[in-house]
Formats: sequence, C-alpha cells, structure tokens
Amino acid sequence: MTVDTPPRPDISGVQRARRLVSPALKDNLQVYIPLIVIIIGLAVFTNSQNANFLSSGNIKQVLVAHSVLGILAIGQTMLLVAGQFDLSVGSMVSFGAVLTAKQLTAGVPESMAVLIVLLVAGATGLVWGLLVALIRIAPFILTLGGLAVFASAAVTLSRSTTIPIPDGLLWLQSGSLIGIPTPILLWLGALVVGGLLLHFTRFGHRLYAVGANEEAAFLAGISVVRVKIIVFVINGVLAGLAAVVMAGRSGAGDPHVGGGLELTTIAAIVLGGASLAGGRGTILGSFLGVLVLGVVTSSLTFLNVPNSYNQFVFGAILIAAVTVTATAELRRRRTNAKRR
Amino acid sequence: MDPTLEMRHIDKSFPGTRALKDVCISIQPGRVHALVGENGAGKSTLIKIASGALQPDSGSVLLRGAPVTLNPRTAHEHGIRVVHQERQVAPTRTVAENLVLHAPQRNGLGLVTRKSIAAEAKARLDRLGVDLDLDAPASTLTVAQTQMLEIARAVDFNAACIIMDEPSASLHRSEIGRLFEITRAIRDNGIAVIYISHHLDEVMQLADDYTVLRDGQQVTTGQTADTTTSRLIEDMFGVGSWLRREDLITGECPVGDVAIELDHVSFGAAVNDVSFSVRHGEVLVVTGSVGSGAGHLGRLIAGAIKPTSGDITVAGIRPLRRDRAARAGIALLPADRKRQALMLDRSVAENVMLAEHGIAANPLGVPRRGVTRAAAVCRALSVKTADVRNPVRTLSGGNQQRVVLARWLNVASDVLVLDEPTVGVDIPSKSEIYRIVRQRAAGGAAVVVLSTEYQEIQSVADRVIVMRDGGIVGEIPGADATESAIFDMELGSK
Repeated sequence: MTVDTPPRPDISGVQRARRLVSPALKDNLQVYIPLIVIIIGLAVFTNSQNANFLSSGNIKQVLVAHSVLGILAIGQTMLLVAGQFDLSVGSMVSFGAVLTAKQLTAGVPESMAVLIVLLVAGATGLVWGLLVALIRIAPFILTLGGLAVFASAAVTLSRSTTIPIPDGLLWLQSGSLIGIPTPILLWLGALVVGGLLLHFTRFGHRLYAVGANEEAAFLAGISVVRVKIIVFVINGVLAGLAAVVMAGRSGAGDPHVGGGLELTTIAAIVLGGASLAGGRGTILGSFLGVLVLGVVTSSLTFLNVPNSYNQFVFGAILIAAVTVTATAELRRRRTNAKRR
Repeated sequence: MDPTLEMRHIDKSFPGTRALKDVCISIQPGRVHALVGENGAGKSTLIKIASGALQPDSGSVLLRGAPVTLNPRTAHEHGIRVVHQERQVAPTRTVAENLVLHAPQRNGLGLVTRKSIAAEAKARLDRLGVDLDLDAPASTLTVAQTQMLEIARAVDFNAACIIMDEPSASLHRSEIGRLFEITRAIRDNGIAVIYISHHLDEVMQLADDYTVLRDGQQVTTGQTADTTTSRLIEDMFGVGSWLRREDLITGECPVGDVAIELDHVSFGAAVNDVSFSVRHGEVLVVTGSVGSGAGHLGRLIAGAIKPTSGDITVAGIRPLRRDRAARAGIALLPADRKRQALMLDRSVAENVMLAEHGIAANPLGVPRRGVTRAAAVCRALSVKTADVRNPVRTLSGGNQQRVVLARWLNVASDVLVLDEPTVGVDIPSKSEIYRIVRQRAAGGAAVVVLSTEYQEIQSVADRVIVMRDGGIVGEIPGADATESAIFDMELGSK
C-alpha cells in the first residue's frame, strides 16, 4: 500500500477484486464465459479434426451465413429487454426477400427497392407497436397472427416459386470492404448501433425499466407507450434489413427462406442471457448466442455429422443452459428464503 | 385443555431487520385471539410461521401440546387455515366449486359430480350461517360475499385454527357486523381464531384474548376484558418511540401560493365531484377506507389517470399524462412498493435514478456517475445498503421505501403525492419519512399524503380531508385530527 492511498485496513486482494466486479458484471460474466468457452472449445476441437475450420474463408462463411439471424437478434433483444417480442420477423424476412426480388425483376432501382422493403417492415413494426402499446394486445398472439399473414403474403406474392435476382444486389452477394464481406459489415454495424442504443442511452435505460416493472416505469414518468412503439419500429426496420441481406446473399427471393427464424432468434437470445419475462439481456450476450449456433452448425458439417443434427445439438445446448440458469436461480431464492 | 396452537420464544430475522424477538403466544380453542400491531410490527411474519410458510430461527411451535415442525402442507394437515388479505377465488367457477376447490368429496363411484360438490358446499355454508347462491360464478359476488366464501372455504371440517389477516381492511364499515357474526360462528364451533387488525374498536368488540406486537416484540398479552382502547394504543405505539406532532411541526410554517387545485373533479364512480386546493408549504392528508376514492385522488393529481370530468391544475399544468406531470416535478410514491415502484432485481442505483432517466445500465454494470450520485442520495436518507450496485430486493421494507423517496428527492420535486408512505415500514424509517415530508413542506413543497393510519395523520397533517364513497365528507385541521374525530366524520355521525 502506498502512502497516498487512504488507509483501507482488512481488505484482501480477493475482496478488492470483488469490489471492482460489480454485481451486474458478475451476472453477465456468468452468461458470457460459458458461451465463450463453448465457442472456443468447439472451434478448437473441430479445427484439430479438420484444419480448414479456422481458416479465414470458413470463418467468413459462417459469419455471412448467420448475418441474417444476427441482425434479427439485435432488434429482438431490445424487444425482450422491454418485455415484448415479435414472432413475425421470420416470415417478414421471407416476405421482404420476395418483395426485394419482385421489385428488382420489375426494374425498380436498387436503392429504391431496398428503401421500400425497410419502410414496409418498419411500418409493420409501427402497427404492432401501436396495437400493443395503445390497446394492450398481447404481443405473442398479435405477432403470431402477423407470422401467418406475412408467410402467406410471401407465398402469394411469389406465386410459390423462388424468384431469382439475376444481377441485382451484387454488393451484398460478393461485395466486401478490407476483405470483410458486406453482410458481416452490416451485421457488425447494426451490433455497434444496437449496443450503443441499448446500453448507453436513456432510451436503452427506459427499455430495461419497462421490462423490469412496467407499472413502476409508468408512475416514475417514463412514457411506456412511446418506448414500446419505438422499439417495435426499430425491430421492424432491422427485420427489413435482414430481409434485404437474405435476398442479396442468396441472390433470390425465396418465400420460405425465413421460416422458423423467429424461434431460432429467440432461442439464441435466451442462450445469451435474456429473459422472456423482460428486464434482462444484452446485445453482446445475444451476439454470443448467435455465434454458438453458427459454430455448432459449421462444426457438425466439418465433422461430417448429417445436417439434421444441427438443431438437435443447438437445442440440447439451450436446454442445458436454461437448466443451469434456472437451478442457480432456484438455489439463490432458497438461500434468500432461508435468510428471510 | 391444551391450547390449539402455541408458539414459544420465537425469534426471526431478515437481512437488516429482526422481525420477531422472543414472542410467546398461545391460542385457545373456541376463542378469538386478536393480534394487534402497526404495519411492520411482525404480525405477518408471525402468521407465516404459524402457517408453515416461514421457519423460525429459534423457538418452538406446539399443536395441542405436541411440538411440531411446520411446512405449508403439514400445517394444512393439522387444520391451520389462513384467510389472506387478498382475495383468492377462481372467478369463473361457481361458489360451490370454489368452496371445495382443494379437495372435493367423491361419491360412491369415486367421482366428483355436481351433486357431491353441492352437498358438501351447502353443509359448509350452513355451519357458519352464510347464505350464498351456490351456482353463482364467484366473479358475480361482491367483495364482502367473496370474503365470506373464502372464510367458508377455510373452515372445512378439519379446521382447528383459522387465521384471518386483516379481514376488515377491504370491507365497508357497514359490512363489518356480518364479518363479526361469521367469526363468532367459527369460534362457537370450537375452532381457534387468530384475528389480525389494527382497528382497536374491532378488537375490543370481537376478541376474547389479545397480543400486542411492536417492532417485533411482544408488548402485552391478555384478555380484552382486562384492558382498554387507550391502553392498547399505548402498547401499540409505545410512549416516546414515536415522532410526535410537536417534534415535527415547529412553529408556524409560511404557506405560499396554491400548488394543487381540483375543481369539481370526478373519476368514473370512484371519485365524485371533488374540489379542494393545496398550497406550497402545506401537508394535506386525504383519508378514507377502501373504496372511498382517496387512492384515486393521488393518481389523478399525479396524472396517472385522467379525470372523467372537472379540472385539475398542479404546478401550473394540467396533469393529463404521467410522463409530463413527472417532468413538471410531480412526484408519486405509490402504495404498493413492490408492484408499482421498484424494479426488484435491478440495482439500488438504477431504482434511485429511475425518475431522472439518467443512467443506462450497460453490460459492465451501473456507470460510475450513477453510482456516485445514487450513493450520495442514499446517504442523505440513511438507506442501509452495503453497495448501491446491489439489487434493491436485498433491502428491508423500510429501506426500500427510502429508495423510492430518494428517487423523487433526487429530481427537485415541488409537489409530492405519497400514497400510504409507511406501509410495511419499520418505526425508525417511519419517523425518517415523516421528518422528510415536513422538511420538504418547510422548503416550499406542496404535499398530499393518502393515509389510513391515524397516528400518521396526527403526526404530519396541516389539514385532513375525509372521504367516503368518492366524495369529501369533511375537513379537519391537523391538530384536531384525532382518531375519534376522523372516525365520526367517516360514519357521518357529526
């Protein structure tokens, strides 16, 4: 101890470290560290079997393949933090991809086509937000309806066939900057913006407040209605962006391409520490959740395990993760109850 | 005869508070035992131990003379029943189905039929002299009828000890006679009754025995025939432990301009044509039993609900939206701390800063700026917490309430609406809250306190408005607001 520091007797190094690690950081690390261990462990193991796994080509390919999911996860994380969610994003990706392809084949300029998809998806988010915030429809039922509507609209608009985009959106398909493919750049950009918005702004703080205790947030003077509408719109726009990325990356508008993405997204987010009850979740955690899914999928391919096992392994990891979390929570409650 | 339920030398601590200290109580069959004490005196902890929901740290529980270890299941098997303050019926099911909800009788074939349910339900109601339509859905009953249903449900043929947790709190004063009749019918069936209330007139009328708890300690116990209401008041509050009016209100407070004005305000059927005003520097208490509309008034002034007719002006604005009202400096401390005020799993700091929208949680935790600020505010209100980054859930009730108060003192509020500010709060916190209320008033804030605690009213009020059935029935200067003056005004006898 130097002369300058105020005397702090009886504090060991461990205690000092505990003081530095805030309770919130500790909670988050308990989520992040196992996920990072899974990602690194699985990657190293697969790489020992097949040295191409950690090649830059494969890493890029995994990230590109999961960019749509990753972008969706950002908006959905904000929704979950605020105690909301949107099941319609998967079929919105299908619909948006078809809409993009349809416009491009009809000769609409690329930038215009993209803008329209973003607007349509954002407007859909606005509708969900208005209905949820103003007339208090449960988001689950409402967006389940939306899922059906847009799934059907995608099939109808495309006449049930995949519409190829012969020479549009090439910047998404093969474009890159300093060697990083465009879809990854868009994903990273959305991550940074989303992370700043959720964790470093007043709006983000309000999302947590609304999710943690809506009534308390309202009585404390937070405009719960406005917060809910805005977060649904943000999620809608991100779903539109995901649709465009999907269309550009695959070079086609497939009316079934987004099927099931909504549940996969929510699974990845919950793996990343968010709670369906609201008030919990981080952008970084959700990112790690998506990465786990990506590494599992790619590893199994490299290990020559049939594709059909992808979902099985990811599902097993999810079940294991929530079981561990719930057990820890239960133990915490019990010890608290004993002390009470 | 052995007492039905006996508790010996019970100790129980929660983090930060000692809820019960060496409490000994014995409940005799066929008698009504009143458990008296303020909020936070330890009544609910004691009944949770009696019903097996909590384990004592030390001490023993005896049933008919035999020591037992209770959990909720064994307590039920031994015939201990709790009628909770909150109503717990299945609203879409009929009265008969609700009555036999837990273990319906089966007929000869081992099946539960409408007939077998109806027969048992009728027998249960007849035993207590309760008259309810067995086929009516529970949702169609009045609050009082629902309560009778719940009491009848608790008093099955196995019941030995019925614990009634503030049964009169949700009743209109005219309905209490009926509650007394049923309680006496239970007693006359040889069942022991624990009756919790802080209305001493009820205790004197109904109970055979009484125990007074204060601050977790047993103050007195005995037969009601041997005591008086004024002795009970002294036992409940203690002499000298309470911040008296003289300590809080020193000299004449300068009263400023009108800060809150209500002009013929109505809200549905709950508030009916109410007009009054509050000046800066003044503490107005609005009182009235459940259903009187006092609770709605607080939400109206704070902009959490909109009046259906009439005009409200607060701090120069019309509070029609809660977010705008909060920005104009109208603070609201809601009655239900856990459900309406706190984010229980989030940190003390985030809870303090909630009204200011000042700090965003990030994955690293609460930003240093927020921690420093919140810690300073908490120190000013002597909130007992090791670290403001800990979840607010870990604090005691009194400290949690100080956190909510700190939230509004952190943003310079000059209109304070406090709805039952000291429910479930320990005595030092109460005194601290009263001190802050008076201090803010002296600093020019207009304060409206919604309260049903007579002692609280006497301690803080400059003026008292008494409400009944949504309207104002009278106004009393704070110095004259005795329990009997308020009570008489509520009943309309003066």
